[in-house]
Amino acid sequence: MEKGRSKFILILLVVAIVSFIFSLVSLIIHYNEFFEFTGFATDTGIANVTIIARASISFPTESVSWGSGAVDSGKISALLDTYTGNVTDGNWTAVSQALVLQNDGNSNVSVTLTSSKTASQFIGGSTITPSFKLMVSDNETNSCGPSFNEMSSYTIMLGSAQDACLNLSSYNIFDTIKIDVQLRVPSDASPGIKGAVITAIATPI
Amino acid sequence: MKINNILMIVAIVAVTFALVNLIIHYDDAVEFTGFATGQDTGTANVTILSQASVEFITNTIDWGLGSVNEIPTSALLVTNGTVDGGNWSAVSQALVLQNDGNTNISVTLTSTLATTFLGGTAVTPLFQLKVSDNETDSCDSAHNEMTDFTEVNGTAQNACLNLSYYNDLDTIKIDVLLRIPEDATPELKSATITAIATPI
Repeated sequence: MEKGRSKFILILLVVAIVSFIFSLVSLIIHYNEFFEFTGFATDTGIANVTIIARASISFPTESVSWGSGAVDSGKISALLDTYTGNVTDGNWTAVSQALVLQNDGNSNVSVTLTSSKTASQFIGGSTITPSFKLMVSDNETNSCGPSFNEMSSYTIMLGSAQDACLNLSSYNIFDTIKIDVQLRVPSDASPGIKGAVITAIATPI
Repeated sequence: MKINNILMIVAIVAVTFALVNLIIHYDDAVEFTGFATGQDTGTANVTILSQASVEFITNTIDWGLGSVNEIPTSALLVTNGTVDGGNWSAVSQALVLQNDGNTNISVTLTSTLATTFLGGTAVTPLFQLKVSDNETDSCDSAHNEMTDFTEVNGTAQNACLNLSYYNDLDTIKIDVLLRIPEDATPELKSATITAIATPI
């Protein structure tokens, strides 16, 4: 009885092995068909643009004007200052808005300021030495940090290029500086419209 | 006795596996079981598998070197030949994607965010794609998901839900629009646009 059962199992096993091999071969033959249901394809395109460094600055606030006025009677000079917003010993209109210079390029820049005139050329007079000074400060936090600001206090204009800020950021939220102006007008300065042009020159760093 | 039981189980599993495989490939199997008559026939069979395949036949857009002009706060570059506010070379050739498979496909496009690709903060940078037919009705308006310039969001975005494989109408154009802020850092900027095709 046991012998007959073993023989049956052996035959069954042979049949099973043959079937298994047949199935395996069939599976290999139809391999591709299984994968046709899952295929997807890709390809790539490229968009290129090269941005070159460009130094560019502009004065969003480009003019300071105190209008018409005179030194108060009995005073030897008047002081006009955009930083304090005061006019001392004179009757000009007070101005508290400085010039504003913006780095609107895409690289940090070093800035020099050059005045077209010295104080004596700009204002004149002799009862006291006239003065024409500029002072630079951040218009946005850290646009020109203290270690780069070369005009952190009022500085006499010499008529030549003077370092103002050694590193003015191009990053839009801190790319502007204020340039305050201070004038000392002697009482004997000749009447007339007085003007000076302040030129900012930016060099990429 | 124990061995016999194990062999029995193995045999049953193998036969079951074979049986399932036979059912799946029944049609293939019966072709071997024909019988002969007075006539006979010959058959030539070929099975063409469904294959999704796409290729960028125009695969690069390059505006070259340039910068934003001094006055505006940004420059606009579009592959329709527009360069506004900058001095890059105009490009009037879009990317062209071809379905070179043998089945209609749905296409998604994936690329980099504008802030990563271009950067800058003077204005919000833009990186947008627009799909249109390169051949009539290759992706008709009912299936075109990018008929207007669409901001790239960094993930796969539906572009065309049915791009034909038929050779006369199997290509689409992908136009590109960039807005470059004036304070974007100077360097070569490059973005890869990946098209993924899924058979439909």
